[in-house]
Amino acid sequence: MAQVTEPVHVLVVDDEASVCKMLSIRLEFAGYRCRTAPDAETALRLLSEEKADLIITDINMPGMDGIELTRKVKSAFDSDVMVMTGQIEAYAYEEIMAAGASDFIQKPVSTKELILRLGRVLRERELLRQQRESLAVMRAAKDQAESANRAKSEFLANMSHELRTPMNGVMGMLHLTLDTPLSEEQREYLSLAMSSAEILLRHIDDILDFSRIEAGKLGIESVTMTLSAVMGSAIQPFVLQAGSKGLTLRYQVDPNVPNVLFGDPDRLRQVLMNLFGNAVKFTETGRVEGAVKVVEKDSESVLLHFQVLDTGIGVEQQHAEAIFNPFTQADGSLTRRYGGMGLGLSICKRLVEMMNGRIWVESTPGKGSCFQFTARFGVLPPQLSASDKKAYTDEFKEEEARRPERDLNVLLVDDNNISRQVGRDILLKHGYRVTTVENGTAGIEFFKRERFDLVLMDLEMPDMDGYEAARIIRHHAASSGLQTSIIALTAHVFEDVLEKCREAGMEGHIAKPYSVAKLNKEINRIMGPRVSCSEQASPLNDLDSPKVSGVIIDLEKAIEKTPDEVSGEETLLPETLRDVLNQALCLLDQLRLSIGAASSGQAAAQLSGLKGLAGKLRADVLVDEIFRLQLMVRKKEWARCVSQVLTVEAGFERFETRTAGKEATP
Amino acid sequence: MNNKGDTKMRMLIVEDDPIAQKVMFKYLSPHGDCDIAVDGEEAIRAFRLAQTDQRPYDLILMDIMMPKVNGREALLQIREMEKNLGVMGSSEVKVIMTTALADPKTVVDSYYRSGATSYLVKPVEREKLLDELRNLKLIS
Repeated sequence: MAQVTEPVHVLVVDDEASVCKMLSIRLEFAGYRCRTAPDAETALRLLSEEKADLIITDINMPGMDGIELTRKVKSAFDSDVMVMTGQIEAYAYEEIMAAGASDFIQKPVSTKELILRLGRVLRERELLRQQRESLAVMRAAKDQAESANRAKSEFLANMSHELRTPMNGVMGMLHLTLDTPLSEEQREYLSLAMSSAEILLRHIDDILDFSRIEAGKLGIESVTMTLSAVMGSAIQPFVLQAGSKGLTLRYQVDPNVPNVLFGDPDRLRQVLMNLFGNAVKFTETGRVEGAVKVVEKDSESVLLHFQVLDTGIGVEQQHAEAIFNPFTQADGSLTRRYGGMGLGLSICKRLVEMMNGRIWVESTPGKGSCFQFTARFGVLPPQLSASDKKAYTDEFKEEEARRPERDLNVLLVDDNNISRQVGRDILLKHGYRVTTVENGTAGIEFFKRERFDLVLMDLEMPDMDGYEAARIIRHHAASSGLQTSIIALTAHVFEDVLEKCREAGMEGHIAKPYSVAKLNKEINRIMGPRVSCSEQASPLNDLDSPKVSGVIIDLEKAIEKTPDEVSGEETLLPETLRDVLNQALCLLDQLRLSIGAASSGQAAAQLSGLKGLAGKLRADVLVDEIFRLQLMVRKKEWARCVSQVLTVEAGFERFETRTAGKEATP
Repeated sequence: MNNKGDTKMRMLIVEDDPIAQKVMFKYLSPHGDCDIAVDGEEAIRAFRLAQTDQRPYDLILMDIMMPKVNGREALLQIREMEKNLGVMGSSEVKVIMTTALADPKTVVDSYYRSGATSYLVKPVEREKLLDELRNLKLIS
């Protein structure tokens, strides 16, 4: 009988009540918890209410038969099924088992046999459960290990940056200082510091490489490489050291070794440098010789054999394998004499394996060592991909269709305070320069003083209406030879209104409320595409400037709100503008002093403040000018800075005239 | 490789580490006019201004890991701008990626996919840097 800690739940399904009753009494007696059902449908309902470990079902029942019930149970519940078959039943046992039954038993059922079979089914069930459980545990452990490994890789990537950045500073500064006039003593000290830094950097590289190999993050590239160049650059760093020890250092490549290969030159160089470096390090007299030959070659790849032979201290046979393991050196006492972390050869071993080769050493202590490795390389020259130039040209044509925003100087004439403010902010935000005035007379005044490319004219205004103002502006423009467009702003788009507009010299109209898109469309219609009057707009400018959005600015709605609600963070109130300008002028004064004192630190801080202010004004051209000044300060080109400060100042002052303009009333 | 005849070679160092900025500036200044940008965003702006001034850079040294816009992203945008301007082939700016990330995947990704001309791993040594400039035929 199954060893049950918790009671096993059994469901008996038979249309004969006597069978149900008999079986449930026997099973309860044997220690099972038993329920019964007179048909398959009832059984399924009972199962959905409370699970059962095992179902014993009759095969032939009214409605759904036992085989169908077995299929349903197996597809929806985690229960085993035993099927009771009559001797005369026409069902094949194969069919019963195929439906998912764990066993079958012939009727009339021998209780003893049933309980024995039941015990076996339950044993299997328990085994399967344990297997599933341990699988789940292993899967969880695997997931955990994988995520830990990912975290480790991530950590290492950061580590590399954190370790190398300060090394960059140390070595760079040493290098620069070594270039300045120094006493002999100072030069010697700094050169020593420099060589220590170089050693430290090699160690850092080894640790990082080793960790990346462990994390499975180190990959082997496949690019064209020249073997002679790799060999040469691998030996070069040791020429001096070998020379000072009086060692002969040379290498030889068999003539049948192809010089152009397909592989990872950096990794090959790394292995060779390690071997040459060790050879020179552990050899006091004699020679260090490299050699390359072909082991085997076919049409696609070549297996090369490299060897680095030295006449150094050699390695004991018992250490010959171990030296390729991480953190191992041939001898403890050598550690002191020769130093090193014992990572180099283990990195070589991994790298060589990644190049489909192996590494080994043959050595006689006291006589010398011969380190050898094989590595496989591609021999086909790389197929150069088709030139990108055609793609470039095609994409360029597409890009050209994108239209830069214009740089227009716009005069907005509107008597409503909020309409004016909203209009101004929208125009500014989309890269136009704007002056706003609140009536026709002021509009005319400003038009006479400053050159505008475009006038946006509200029609309904007290004192002088838009038609009258437009007529005078048109007249003035004509007599001064100015190319100015006038667009009417009106809530009433009737034909007679438009006719009156045309009569007054207005070329277009925009119905209120207007969107920026609508405004741009009308501007393009009237002025033609891509005309910019004041400055030539670079096609690059629109990379930074905000894109024209299709947001409808409902002026009428805006008017009902308070200015604060309208502006939100998107707009700039005149008070803020004045505040920004005051700060800017103050910073500019300080900046002049910093430049005069050649203090780049202070100038940098003031400039970043100015840049922020110009950003608030959304004056991208001004930000550019400030950035130019930043570049000059960083280069300490103080003379040029002085005139650039004037340019920046003028940029801010242009905003000042606009605030003044806005306030102007006749 | 100078662009408009009489002018010196123009270089842009894009680097967020002030010490590295200084070192690179000292290494490169003897060979031309060197600007310094402190992040990818500035690099893009500097590139654009240089184009506007008709004095494009001959060389950009671009760090990869930087605040705001990283080096790879900046390079992609710069190449995009060149495409839009019809700058192609040998008149494209040479870009050397510099990185303290020894992770070849990141480097190679930037090196090949975003159109970098080559790359150097930090610490950047002067001779390696100048060799690279010679390789690119920027100095002789």
